[in-house]
Amino acid sequence: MLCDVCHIKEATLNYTVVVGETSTTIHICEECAKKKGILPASGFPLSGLLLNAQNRNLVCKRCGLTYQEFADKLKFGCSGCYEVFGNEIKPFIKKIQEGTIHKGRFPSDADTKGLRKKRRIIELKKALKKAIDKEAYERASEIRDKLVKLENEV
Amino acid sequence: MKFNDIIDNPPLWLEGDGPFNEIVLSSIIRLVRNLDGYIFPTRAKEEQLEIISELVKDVVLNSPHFKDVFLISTVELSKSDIDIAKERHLLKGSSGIMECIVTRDEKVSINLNEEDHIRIECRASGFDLETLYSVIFDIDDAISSKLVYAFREDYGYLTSCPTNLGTGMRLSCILHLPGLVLTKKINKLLKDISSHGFSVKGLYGKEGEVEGSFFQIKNLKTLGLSEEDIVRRTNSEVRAIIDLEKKARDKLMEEVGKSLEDKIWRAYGILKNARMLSQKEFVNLSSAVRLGIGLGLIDNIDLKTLNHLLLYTGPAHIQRLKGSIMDKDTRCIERANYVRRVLRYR
Ligand SMILES: [Zn+2]
Ligand SMILES: [Zn+2]
Repeated sequence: MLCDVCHIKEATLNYTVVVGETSTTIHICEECAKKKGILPASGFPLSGLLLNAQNRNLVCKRCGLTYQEFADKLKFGCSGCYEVFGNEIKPFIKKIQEGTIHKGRFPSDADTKGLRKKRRIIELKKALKKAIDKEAYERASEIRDKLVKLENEV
Repeated sequence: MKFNDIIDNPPLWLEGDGPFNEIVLSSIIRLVRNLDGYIFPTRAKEEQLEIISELVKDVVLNSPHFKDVFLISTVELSKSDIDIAKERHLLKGSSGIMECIVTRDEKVSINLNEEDHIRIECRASGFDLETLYSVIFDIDDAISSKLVYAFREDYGYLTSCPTNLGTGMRLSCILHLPGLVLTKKINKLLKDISSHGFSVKGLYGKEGEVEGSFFQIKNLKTLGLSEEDIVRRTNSEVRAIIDLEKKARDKLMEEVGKSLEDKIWRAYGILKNARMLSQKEFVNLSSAVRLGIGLGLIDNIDLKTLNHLLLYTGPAHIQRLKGSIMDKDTRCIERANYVRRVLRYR
């Protein structure tokens, strides 16, 4: 298991961290633990995983939430926070969720923006690659036709 | 409709019927939603919260989907009524103005401005996630046809807590697992469940304690899976637990049947005769009787009556019987009186 902080070294310490109703295990290497001043006996502050010198001063202009406050409480203040902190939180979200891409329903108004089509295009592209890998060229050309049609609509 | 009209009648999800009712007390589905363009409740100003509340109430109270609904607001309730609403899972938070729109049968409730703008919850008796699933999305569609939700292509429905992102959907079941507790298989099972992406904890009792062998299981992952995936996974996880519990019960009957039967009838005897009952004691004794019903060892009482007792013996509900604040001992006396009264007419 690679260290969740540097993503380079092998992790040697494990910490269970509670996030809302969930808990997740953080794996960290000794060097990163030392750098962040974490003692093996104490708990792991999640803020240690999220914060670094560059991002701690980020602020959401709409609701006034700072990234430091987010790291402490793990609660967003508004949808704007997702724009401002978006890249910083991605590894963390990946850790507590099944991935970082929504696969479920969308609101009826989002649907009219062509979201359903866009998702269908992504699915078809995947299917196309699979078909080509399997050398199922007839199937691939069928998929390609569908793709072209959809892409023209969007 | 008044608050008391709701409280006087037991919620329909405590009927004690539905699939696998001898093991699954109830199923719950919850959706978390926020309105586009508004700051989340934890950081919003009071006047913003009022606007959100008005917007949602306008849609819900005027929609043909929501007939016979009642608005519960902490502004209008006494402290003891708020405690009752909490015992019935209608209110959750602890600060600020809390509002909840609830149907008369308490199967559907919509909380406003808690951690998120909107939280829709549907409950059913027994193990029935599919029905709940279709009910809740009818409601969700009705709301989203009038109001715009905060949503992003990548993260799905945006929520205050990152643990609710994506679908914003949480499924849970209340399980009664005395067989697995008595055969000491429960700890390993709880560990296994956690490793499958679910959280499971005791329903009664303080942190780390389990009273009455009641557990609540919930899905943890909400992003990166479709709603159907979550339903399918939860269904199969709960089904597996049900099968294990059934096996454990069979084993108990085979190996210690007579002494189990004895314990169950003694528990029933205490409930029928006790002069003082703490909530903890009631939960544990009624758990034994519930197992007896499941095993077909006792038919003097049904699951519906036990479920209703479970709710109406909570501290806030007991206090309501006399309409005055009581100390703990008085509550124990009133609780025992109440249980005896209900059981006498069985
Ligand atoms: Zn490291
Ligand atoms: Zn913000």
